[in-house]
Amino acid sequence: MSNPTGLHGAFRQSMAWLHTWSGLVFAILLYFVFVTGTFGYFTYEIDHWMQPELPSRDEIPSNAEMAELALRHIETDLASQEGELTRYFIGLPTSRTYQYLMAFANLAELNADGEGFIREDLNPVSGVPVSDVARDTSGGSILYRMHYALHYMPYEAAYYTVGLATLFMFLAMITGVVTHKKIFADFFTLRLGKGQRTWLDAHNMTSVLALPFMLMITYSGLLFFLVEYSPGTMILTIGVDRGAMQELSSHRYPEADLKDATGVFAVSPAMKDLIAYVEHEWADDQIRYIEINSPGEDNSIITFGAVDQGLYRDRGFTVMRFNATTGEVLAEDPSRPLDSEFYQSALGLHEGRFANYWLRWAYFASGLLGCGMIATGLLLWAKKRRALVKTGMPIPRSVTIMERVNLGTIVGLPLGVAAYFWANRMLPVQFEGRAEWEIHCLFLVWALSFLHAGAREIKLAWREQVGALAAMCLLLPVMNALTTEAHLGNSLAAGDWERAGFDLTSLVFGLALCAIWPRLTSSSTVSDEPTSVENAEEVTGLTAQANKAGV
Amino acid sequence: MTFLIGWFLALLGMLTLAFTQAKQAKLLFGAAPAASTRWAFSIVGYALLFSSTYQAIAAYGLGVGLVTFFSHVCFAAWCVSLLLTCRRTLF
Repeated sequence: MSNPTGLHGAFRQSMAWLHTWSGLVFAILLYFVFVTGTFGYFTYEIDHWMQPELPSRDEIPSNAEMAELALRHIETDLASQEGELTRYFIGLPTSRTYQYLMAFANLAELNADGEGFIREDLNPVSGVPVSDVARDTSGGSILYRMHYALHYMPYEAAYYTVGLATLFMFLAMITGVVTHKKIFADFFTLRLGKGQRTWLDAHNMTSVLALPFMLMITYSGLLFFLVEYSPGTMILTIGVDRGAMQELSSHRYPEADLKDATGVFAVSPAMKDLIAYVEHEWADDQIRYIEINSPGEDNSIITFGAVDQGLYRDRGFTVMRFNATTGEVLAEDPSRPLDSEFYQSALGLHEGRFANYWLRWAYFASGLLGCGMIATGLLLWAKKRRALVKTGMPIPRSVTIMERVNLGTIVGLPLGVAAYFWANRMLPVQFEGRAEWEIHCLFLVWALSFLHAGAREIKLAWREQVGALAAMCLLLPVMNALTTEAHLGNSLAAGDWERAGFDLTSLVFGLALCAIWPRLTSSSTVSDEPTSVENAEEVTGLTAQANKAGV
Repeated sequence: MTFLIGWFLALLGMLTLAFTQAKQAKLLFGAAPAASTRWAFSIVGYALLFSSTYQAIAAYGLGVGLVTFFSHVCFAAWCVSLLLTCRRTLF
């Protein structure tokens, strides 16, 4: 007799098993990566909110004025501190990064700290170092960084761990698609109030409707550390010596032969004239940086980098160069090879730096769907196993532990992030090491939420943690108003939509959690009662369906 | 505005495509439409999605336009799903 499931059915079952376990093994880490990475889409806006002392966009002066401020700072303050400088780099604020004016210089000799460079972020209006006028904070950039470099662990170990988790997620998604028999029939289906079925529908919807985003984000995430993840390929194809690496780099990012001048702009041009020329040539583009090599020498070259167009915007590949002494406009860089274009486009897609505000919100919402996909998968795993326990039977320890871990993960991490923002407003501005303590607060609160989940009855713990998260979100704008001048009223009146948007988003999250909160009393994330015998058959049927669907 | 127009086209497209599924159409209309009507819906639905793609690429270029289109489709599908969920819950 043939196997009733057939080869096809057996294959699907195998994929379902692989989907479950490849998703589950790294689920907590992946949830952390998704939550912090989702905040990363608003890195600069969060930075802006976390340093309320810095100016809003309307106050930003012209590029020429800011370049003047930065040059003065480099040539006077930095040069007097560090001696001879061999290269200046000025990072100008763009439409998103308007908060900082970066002054950077390479040193002729290593300084006392053993470093060959010095960097200072300046207030773009006054030119005063940000550290002198604004609170010390880890900002939004640390959330972004944590999604690939984690925290409290060596950088290399972190990105290898995240890479492995990403690989597992990629596997889970491919097997999930293979397993999902009714992917089109169930495309729009979310049945509420049906227990385990609802969670299965929610898991399917969060995954399937955002599938292009999920596939793109995992695949391009793996590409970021391509060389590190596959060192053998590099060694076998180009070798390990420094010359070979440089050859590869010049293949990826070819530069023009700088002896070829294409015209003369002016003799010994002033910086403001150069800026005016570049702004005229690039029309809508914004200047992202100005680089001066060998300043004061005969062969000094000034390079302007633009905010690139297309998918790899903000990676600084569109450049214009001048001979600083003669004012000659130097040859443009040749176009990059196709493999380099593909690689940079994939990275650009992942970071979404090209995105306007609409698309950025779509990225953010897709990131939230990713968080939802992992959260519903975790909840479904525990619910499915609890549902199989019949009346009078003890609940397996693995299930009760997993339920508590789920709570500590799904609600605990957002609680930690909320605590991070609260710490920014509550820690004294002059507090030593406050930037690092903001991060400690995140992890302390996250750890506390695990302890709380373990100590309390699970249903109550869900209510208390979701209630606490709702309160923290709703009260964050209030705390902001009590501690700074950059509160919602002022930011709305000033048209500072970045700060206002942060407060409003916090309120929206708080209200959404308030809407969910009453439902936690009646159902749904966990059920304390084991399944009655009469319902067991129905539950087993659903569980079989969930198995087939690969959860 | 350009972004919203593209999204609106995608929303109409996804809604029309939802009508091609007997289960969803029944939920919205009370009865599943005839096969020929559903076939017509699928033509219109794909045409609307195509016009949303074209609009996004024309506005933002190929790379950013395609990303924009996928975001339109994703959130249009979400809206249709939530609409159907509301129908299922209310009626």
